Amino acid sequence: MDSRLNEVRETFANFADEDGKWKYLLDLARAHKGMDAALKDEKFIIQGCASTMYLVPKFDGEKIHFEMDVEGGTTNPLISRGLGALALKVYNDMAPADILAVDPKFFQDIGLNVGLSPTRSNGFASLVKQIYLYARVYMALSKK
Amino acid sequence: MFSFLNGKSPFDEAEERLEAGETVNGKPKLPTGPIMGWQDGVFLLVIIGLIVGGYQYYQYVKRNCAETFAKCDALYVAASEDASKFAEVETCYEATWDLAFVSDTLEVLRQNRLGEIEDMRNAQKDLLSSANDALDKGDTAAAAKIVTEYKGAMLLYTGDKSEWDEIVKIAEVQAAKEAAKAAAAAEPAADSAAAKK
Repeated sequence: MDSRLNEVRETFANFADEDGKWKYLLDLARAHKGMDAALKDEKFIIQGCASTMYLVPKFDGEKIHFEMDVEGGTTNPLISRGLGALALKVYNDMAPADILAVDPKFFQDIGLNVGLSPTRSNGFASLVKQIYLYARVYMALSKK
Repeated sequence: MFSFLNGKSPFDEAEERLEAGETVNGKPKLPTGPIMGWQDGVFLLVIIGLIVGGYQYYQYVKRNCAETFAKCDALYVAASEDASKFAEVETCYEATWDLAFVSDTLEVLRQNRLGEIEDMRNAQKDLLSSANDALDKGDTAAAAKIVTEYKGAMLLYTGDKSEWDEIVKIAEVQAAKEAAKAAAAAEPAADSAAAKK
């Protein structure tokens, strides 16, 4: 878990300027594979995002696997997709307890929010909140 | 003969002739005749044409992209002075989705500018929601104040836009009523002033 966080922290620390951060998000967005259209159910939409972002969790009893995709109508919401891919880079395929052990302010601390528009910032916060919510639910279910 | 198609190079042919003892002044006799056949010439011309054409097309696409983005940028600068132009800026950047080539720098610019406009749209939505709340409480003056004080672009989509327009109409009626009230109040004052004279 720490290695993932350190990797992301180092990547952000090494950006020469703001542009570097945006280009990194574009690269993540382009490399991110979408999800099966059949999974795109309304109940998986993250509320508060400017674009339509789906986050589908799958718990195997040990780790949570997330599928994420973003739709933007006629536009191509690459930054939103990149933000989603960044969140998955940290939280995907982790045990619920490990997810909950990550400081929710991690992304704020590495400077992700700097220069991010309020809408995207709120959308990202909603996404992270939803990930923690799933982690809490699956942790409670696995204890039963 | 020099040919790409017969699988032999002129050096192979020279070697064969040398092996066969064909020499000129003791040196191997060099191959003579045309450098290549017409088929090879056509093939080479097609390849060159494709390379040159591809390069020209790439330059055209790049230039077209730069020009379109420059136009959007100019609109954005103008909108910084006159916020009502942000709708035009959005339309301009939306049109760039059709471009075949967009560099990463321009992509970042487009995403950020469209993000900025999306924020403005959300701010206008918040205003609309406050105006609707005021209307629900029966405070038409407050609702009218919210929409009349807004100086930004109309960025709302159809449904929200018609709600906004309704409140603008209410604001106009409100303003007309207030103007009439002010005129009515001014009239007796003017009459009494005239009577004093």
